[in-house]
Amino acid sequence: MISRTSFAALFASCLLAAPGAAQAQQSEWTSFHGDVGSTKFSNVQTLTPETVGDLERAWEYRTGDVADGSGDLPETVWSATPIYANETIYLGTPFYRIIALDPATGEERWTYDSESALEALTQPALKNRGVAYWESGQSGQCEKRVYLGTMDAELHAVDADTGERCAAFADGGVLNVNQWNTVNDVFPFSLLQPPLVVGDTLLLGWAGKDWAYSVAPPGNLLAIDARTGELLWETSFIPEELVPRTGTANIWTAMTADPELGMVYAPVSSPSPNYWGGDRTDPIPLATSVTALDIETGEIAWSFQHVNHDIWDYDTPSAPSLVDIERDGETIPALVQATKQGFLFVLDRRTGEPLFDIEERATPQSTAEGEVTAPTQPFAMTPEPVGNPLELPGVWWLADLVSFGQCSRDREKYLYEGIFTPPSEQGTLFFPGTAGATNWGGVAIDPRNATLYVNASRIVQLIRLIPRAEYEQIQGPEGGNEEGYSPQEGSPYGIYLTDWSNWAGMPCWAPPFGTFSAYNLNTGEKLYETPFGRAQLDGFYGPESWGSPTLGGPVVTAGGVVFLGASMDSRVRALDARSGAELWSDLVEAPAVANPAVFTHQGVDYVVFAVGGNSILKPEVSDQAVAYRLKQ
Amino acid sequence: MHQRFLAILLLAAIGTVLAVVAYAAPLGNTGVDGTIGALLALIGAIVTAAGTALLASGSVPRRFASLLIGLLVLAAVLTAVAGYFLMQFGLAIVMALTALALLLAPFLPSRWSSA
Repeated sequence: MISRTSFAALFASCLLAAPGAAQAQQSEWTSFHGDVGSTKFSNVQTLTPETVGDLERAWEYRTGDVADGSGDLPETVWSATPIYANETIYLGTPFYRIIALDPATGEERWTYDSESALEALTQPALKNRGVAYWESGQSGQCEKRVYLGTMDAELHAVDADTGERCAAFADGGVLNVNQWNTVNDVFPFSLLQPPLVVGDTLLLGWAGKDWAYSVAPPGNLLAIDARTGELLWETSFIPEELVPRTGTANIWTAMTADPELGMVYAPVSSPSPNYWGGDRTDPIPLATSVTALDIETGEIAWSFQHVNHDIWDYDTPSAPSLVDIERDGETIPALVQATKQGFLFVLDRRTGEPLFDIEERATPQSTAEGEVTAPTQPFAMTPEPVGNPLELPGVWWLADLVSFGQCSRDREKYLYEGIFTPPSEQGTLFFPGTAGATNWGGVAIDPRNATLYVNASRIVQLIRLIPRAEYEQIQGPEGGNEEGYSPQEGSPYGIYLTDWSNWAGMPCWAPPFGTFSAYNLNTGEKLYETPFGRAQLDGFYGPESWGSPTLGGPVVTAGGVVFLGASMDSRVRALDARSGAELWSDLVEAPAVANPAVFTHQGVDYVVFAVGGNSILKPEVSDQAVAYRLKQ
Repeated sequence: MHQRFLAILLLAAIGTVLAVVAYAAPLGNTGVDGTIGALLALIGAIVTAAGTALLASGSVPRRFASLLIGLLVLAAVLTAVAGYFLMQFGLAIVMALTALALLLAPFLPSRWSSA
């Protein structure tokens, strides 16, 4: 909860913020996170705590591209923040189509179908996190383009005005990115996250098949010419000598850039296999890191590894967010990397040096065959970690009662020795779980006062290493959406991962299940923390004080309002940035698991949510896009 | 026909309609449509309405009437509680009133009890 002094400090800093600074910000939303700095700050002026109660639906659009997995098609996971550019809204869909809409009416202007096969080749679902936009500054066909990636690694470029393919890009407008998948190619690349556009360069990562193989394609960052599709450079994150024994450390989520410094900041994921590292005990310094590269050359400028020898799949889940921090009268260009383990790492973005103390603390050691656990892990205690990840939530009395003590017995039975307790044959309580305290939505930052806003989940999971011989006997379904059995082929262990729950499906750990917090990044002080959203099980809602696990993230506006969907209860909300108090909400078809887009079109401010759902939260999917504006 | 149960039947019928709306969402998304919770609430409302209809018809032997009323009060209360946690507050209120009316029905004046 907010303290009186923290509230006063935040309120004062809001009042003192120079309006000129805000007006310098854009109020378009031209990329996944709104700008290349991933601040998720929108300069819209009319949406304030006093006015958002008057929000109404401007329009609603159905893409038609949705599946719940019960038919022939895999389920869809639509986490695509819409983009607003060229006076148009562009949506990418999980059927790998692009849809261009009129921002004022939601009327369709054109659609483009990549005709990609609708097969879940790598991920357990058809996933899409949107499209990217580029313009040359000249006029003519394909001088403005929209890019869409597909599950089978095609990157499509189409004209932003007409939806026609741009023939000059790669092979008739389609780039086969899988042509560069030549090492340990046990699965194809999947382009689920749109590229980051910096100048005339597309910076592209890819997703793979998680938890399946020990030896997998080594992760890399590809820089591609936005006009021609030519590969400009490629940088790999796995040391060459380890490539025969491991792989990935890929970039599956959004990236950030600072064009002035000429750097791109890559959130690099964990090496394979994810939950056992006995074949990769040599250092892999770029894995599970935020790594800065020169945009022109791909040369690595610096790297900060936030998990040593990652055996928890605590891969870097979101783009770092840029912020300028005031310290001793000096302005320091910084970035904040939110992590699955709940730490917020604040680094000097020129050098990678931490701006708050980071402690290397001893962590529990593994007993798994061949495993050599890292002796320490970096703990960032300032700013305070989100979602209180250092303390395992207690057993929830209600779930324990309903299960006649099952939860208490589980607590005694399974291993837990603090955060970073290794996966084990005995079964390990895993907190924060694999979906993380934070995920792809990341944080939002108000650059006027270096205030950070973040939603966090508190999910406890159970992970068990299953010896290979035993795993081969298991007939259960393989791999779900972040749960179930996964083989980790080539290692001595398969895994079983599930939420820690009782027979009725109730979580065994005590609420809150999700929170929303704000931090002053100049001082590292937490300004407030409050439960966010409502948990929902079989339709029944929990009380507000329980909060909800979340996927997706916030946007903060110049008017002092935070917009956030993300919760289980399928509501999209406006919060007061000063306190986290709910100001407005609306019920939508499913959890809105992407950050919204907030922009000004023809003098009117809009908030647009893509409502896709995600079975990690609850079994509900949708194809709904909803736009809000103030009553006119 | 037992008139005092007709009014209660009307309440239970309204509750059933509200439960159908919550579960099947003919008027749009309710946030709980298609869920097990909403289905349980619908079943609870239907059971309450059907039992009340039996009482209203006068076909329940006197010795079973009190037992049936007790079971219906329980069904209505559980449905009201379900409605509350489903955030279907109209359903919760109507079913709470139904439970209250069923509870009071045996004490109503006899002139209300026959047609």
